[in-house]
Amino acid sequence: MATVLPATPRRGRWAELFLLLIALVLAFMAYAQVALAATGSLPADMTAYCGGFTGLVVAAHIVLRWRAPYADPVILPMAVVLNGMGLAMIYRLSLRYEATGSGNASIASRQLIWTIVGVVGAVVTVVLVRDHRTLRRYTYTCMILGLLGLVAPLVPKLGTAAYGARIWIHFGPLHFQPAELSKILLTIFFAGYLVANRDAMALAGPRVLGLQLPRFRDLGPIALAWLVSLGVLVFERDLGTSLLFFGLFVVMLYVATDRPSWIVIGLLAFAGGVAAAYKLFSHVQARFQIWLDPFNPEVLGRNPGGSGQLVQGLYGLGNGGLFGTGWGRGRPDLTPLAFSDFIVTSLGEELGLTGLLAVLVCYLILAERGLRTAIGIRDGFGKLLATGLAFALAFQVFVVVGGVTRIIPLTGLTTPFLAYGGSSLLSNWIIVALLLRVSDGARRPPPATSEIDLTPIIASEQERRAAAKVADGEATQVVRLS
Amino acid sequence: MGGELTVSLLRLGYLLILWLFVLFALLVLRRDVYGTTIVRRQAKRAKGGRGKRGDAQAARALGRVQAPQELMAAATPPPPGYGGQPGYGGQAGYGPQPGGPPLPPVRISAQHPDAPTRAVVTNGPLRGTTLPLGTSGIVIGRSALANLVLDDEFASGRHAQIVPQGGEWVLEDLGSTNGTYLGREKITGPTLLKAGQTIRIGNTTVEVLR
Repeated sequence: MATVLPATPRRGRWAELFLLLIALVLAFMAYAQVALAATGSLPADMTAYCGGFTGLVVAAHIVLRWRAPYADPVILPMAVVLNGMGLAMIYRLSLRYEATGSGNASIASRQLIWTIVGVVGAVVTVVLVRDHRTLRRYTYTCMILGLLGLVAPLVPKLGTAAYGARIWIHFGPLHFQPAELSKILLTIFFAGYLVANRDAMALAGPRVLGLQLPRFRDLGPIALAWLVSLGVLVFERDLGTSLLFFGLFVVMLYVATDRPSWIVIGLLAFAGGVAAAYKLFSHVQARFQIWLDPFNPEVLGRNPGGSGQLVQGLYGLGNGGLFGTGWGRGRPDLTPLAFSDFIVTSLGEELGLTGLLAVLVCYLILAERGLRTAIGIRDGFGKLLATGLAFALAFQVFVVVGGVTRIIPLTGLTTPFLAYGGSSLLSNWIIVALLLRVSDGARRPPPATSEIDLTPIIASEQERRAAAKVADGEATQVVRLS
Repeated sequence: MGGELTVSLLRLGYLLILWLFVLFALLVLRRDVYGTTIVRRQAKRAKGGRGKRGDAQAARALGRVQAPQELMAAATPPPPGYGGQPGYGGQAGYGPQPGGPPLPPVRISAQHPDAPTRAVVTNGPLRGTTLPLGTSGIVIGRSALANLVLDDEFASGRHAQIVPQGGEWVLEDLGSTNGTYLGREKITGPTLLKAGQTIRIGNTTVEVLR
């Protein structure tokens, strides 16, 4: 005999508040230390900054108490601490750029504005999306909007290219990377699509070398995803986004069907695509060369497309050593794009390996909470959604950190919450909001069931039928929700 | 010198607080247990008093057949780690008493070469569900007590069962109203199953495969 004990989770709102306060202290300490190192005094707007940031975060916390009281208590503090550290680093770089006139000094104030927009966006998402299952209704709307977002930068006049990738669109003074929001929209689409169609995709086809392959005619969607991400790679020259979308689709397909063969098929298709891109495009070849042989003087000195940036980042990490130089006391500004693509090496320089590992553990916890939510939530759509969102976060971190530390070729993806960039910040805050919403559903205790359902032995035929009906009704409900 | 010391203290203090933050978060997570925990009452009899975890794993190794509530989950093929996880926040208090009596330790020693090893639902609302034919028989029907719970008007509560017999599998109708078909023929008594045959119950088709 076994007994099933439903364990009601602690709501953990007080734990969340406590963690949030430490996160805020970390953000403010970083902010103050940066200014102390640069000018010898506290920043002029220290009180306003502290007050505003605290107000924002506490407001988000109160909205969670109100609208998602069972939401995971750790997700929000992780996002806040990462965002706060990113802000401090960007502020630190902007002070330096201001002093030397070597870069854009307005990045700090802009990032601050985008942080406010991001947190407000997250709060609005939590309030508006009362139940994540409503998102399933917009499965195909999300697909269309997501794909539009992917191709929008290709539209002449609307899209602009920068740093070799054509991924920005601009409305007047506003620049935006629509692919960042497409990430969320397409995750919703994949989740909605796969939860409806996974049965067919899980149906077994031939067995080859001990691997259960899918039926040939079910390969259509993965082929489409492959072509779209290849299109992004070829026409927008954006390796990172292309990688993210294909990886996202393959992982969600695997999770939906429980067939490892999809991963194998995905990896083979990916390897084929990379091999073809390597043969066809010089910029892909250059990326590989930078990755494999960055210290070669010929590769180092090449301009544009040399490995100088990567090498600077590596020296920055080396300069940081185990415990770092301390906030504001290193020279991360020597690395080009130290505030966006290379913010990880900037942090690594000033916080050292110890600090950088803590940052990575924060990401790990964030991704883990997402996956835990996916296990806990009872409906299939929610499971796939949470898995996809958590994977997207984790995969971005892997691609960026792997890129700057030379584990994989460098690709252009943003470090969630840390890196400079409005679209990235906003979309990551929305991801956090959706994860909070799904986790609220996962941890909310199920409504009490009547005692009759729990009695296995039912005397008369009539009663048994009645019970079967009740059970059937529930069964259908469970299936429908899924 | 004082300045140097302050700087060092601030630098290391920051790292300390950062790691304390991470540790606090992990502490919160450690206490954050939710979902259903499945506790075996007769844990000791199973194999010399294994812990909760070992039993959960054993239950998983035996396949989905034995725990009906996992089967309900299988009705929509679950992500990996879904079934059998102690933390799975599934249908708590739903339906029947899960688990059921412990399985008799039937080990089919000499598998017949034609004997199927799994049943796959190929048509009907549960399409895609796979049931391993492992150590014990499975009951198919509308009742929540069945192993494969059909949502089908033409199925009876306990409609049919597939039971092992001497290394082979036998299909048996349990007095259903609308009958059980093997291929095109309605079965009248216990019938031997060969891999590749299809069973039809109401709107549901189940294929037994090797």
